[in-house]
Amino acid sequence: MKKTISIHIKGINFLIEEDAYEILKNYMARLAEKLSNTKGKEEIIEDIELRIVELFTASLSSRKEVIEEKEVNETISTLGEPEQFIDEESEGTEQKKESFNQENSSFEPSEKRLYRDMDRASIAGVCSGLALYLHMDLIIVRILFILFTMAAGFGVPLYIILWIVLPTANSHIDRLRMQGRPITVENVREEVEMAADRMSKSSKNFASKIQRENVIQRFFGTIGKIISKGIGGFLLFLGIIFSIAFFIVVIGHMGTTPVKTDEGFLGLYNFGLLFFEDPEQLNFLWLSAGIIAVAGIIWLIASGTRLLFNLRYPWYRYLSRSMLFIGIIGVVLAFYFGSILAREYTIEKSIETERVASTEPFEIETLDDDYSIHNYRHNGYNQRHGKNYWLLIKNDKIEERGIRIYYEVSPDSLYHILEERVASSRNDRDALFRAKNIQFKIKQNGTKYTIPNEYQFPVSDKIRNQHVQVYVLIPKGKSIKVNDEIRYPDGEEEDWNSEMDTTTVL
Amino acid sequence: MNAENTQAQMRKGILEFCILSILKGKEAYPSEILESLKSAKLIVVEGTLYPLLTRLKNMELLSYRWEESPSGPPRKYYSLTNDGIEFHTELTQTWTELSSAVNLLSK
Repeated sequence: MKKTISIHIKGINFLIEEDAYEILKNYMARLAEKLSNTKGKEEIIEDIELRIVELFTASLSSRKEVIEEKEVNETISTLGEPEQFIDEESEGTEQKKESFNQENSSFEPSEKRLYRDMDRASIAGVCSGLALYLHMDLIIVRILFILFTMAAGFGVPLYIILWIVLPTANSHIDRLRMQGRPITVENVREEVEMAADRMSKSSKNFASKIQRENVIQRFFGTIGKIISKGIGGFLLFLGIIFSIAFFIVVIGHMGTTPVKTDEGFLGLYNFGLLFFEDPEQLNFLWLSAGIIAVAGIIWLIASGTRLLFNLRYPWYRYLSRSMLFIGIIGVVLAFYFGSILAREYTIEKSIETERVASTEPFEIETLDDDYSIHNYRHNGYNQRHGKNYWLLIKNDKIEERGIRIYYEVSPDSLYHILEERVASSRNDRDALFRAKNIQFKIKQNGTKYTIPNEYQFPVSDKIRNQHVQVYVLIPKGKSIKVNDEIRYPDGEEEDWNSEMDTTTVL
Repeated sequence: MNAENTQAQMRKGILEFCILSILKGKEAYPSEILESLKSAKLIVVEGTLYPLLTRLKNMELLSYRWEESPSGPPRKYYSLTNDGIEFHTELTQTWTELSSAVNLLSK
């Protein structure tokens, strides 16, 4: 019975008797000593080690698994003693002659090839292989791939094709080719060492995982990974969408609001000017919105890529956190300036004018040329026009559409038409002033009253919830002709009756 | 003893030429070169080959590339460089001259 140890030569494992190992070690030491003055010593030893591996491998079989003294001695006699094949004198002198040559001799650069890099793979290693091939950062390649997918849509099929076509870099030589490094012994060894390192790391991880988790937990771990990747992808997607939107709205300064002027639609900033009396306040709100948007977009992209690609750089976390912090500052600022604006809407005042008070029945015509938008409000109509804008700015006036009409029972024996103009502000005086400024006129033509669909107020008044309501009061037992459908007041439905276009209060 | 030494010297000088001859036209890894040399009984101990290969490589007469082997560690495949091909042609000429001279004299 003899003691056996495990050794590896050039990355190949052998079981060897302890005594045999001593002999081999001794031989290699003698060899190294003999070669100490020779240029290319490492290479010669390397080559001899490779040969030893071959000879050892040839001497082993399924029934013989251990290298014994006999094999080592045979190998040494095949190779010969260092004294037999190394002539110190001649090698030494030649070395001097050729030292210049040697220093300049370079290893043959290997051609670079495209492989899939499974070590850095997120899915199948296509992007990481491409990154090595193109000498680009992995993250940049991945982001380009995602942009490619979203912009042109062929990122996914391209990925799948590359997945199928490209080989994985399995061997150390492949890995060197993938990295475009010359295939030298040094590089191969480095690569082998790195592989060993990777393997021991992953096996350690695996071992500790086995200890900690059972199968079900691992299953949920995988699910969790997929979910976090999904969330990451979604965040990244939002980030990209928002940044495109941000670009269009802020930098593009395009007409993005449904406010039409003679020069086209208003941009977001000019839209803001319709609300703020003091442009300075708008500037601050604008600034805080910009802070929120930029911080938010960076946060979304950073967190998204972090989750999606499982990045663990500390600076990534700091970036996310600082963006969150800056975003919160932006929100606080926005709240402050938003609240200044909100104060302008605290007081609402209305002015009521009696347009008509008559004993004679009349006809009401509403102008609603598009019935697609019909909002019932109380028992009237909010006539929203089916146009592609909400507000129209013309001659320094803002035109808004949509008049609420209420049909109610008259408190006396007369027909009435009342107009009510309503506006808000931070105090009574300003609210009343704005209500008065609302221009609205019901047109009379014989016994027919035409209620227009729009009203105007000066741009300088700013938008302060200006609106107009019309009350049509009908005496009990009398009728009225309306070119529109009437919704009866709540709780009084039984007292009303409509036949064709004539509505009667019973 | 004296004869042995001379034999060794002669063999060694010719060995370089033979390695170049083996590698002319095809690339080979050391074990293949060894096989050829052994079958020609030109080599006694295998170790002799390696310093020669390294030297020829350093003289830029040879170059090599790595290739993964189906079993075991990667292999170094050696081949002649352009300089090596030229050098081999020169040596062949010298050899032809020498061998005819030796044949003529040793008759």
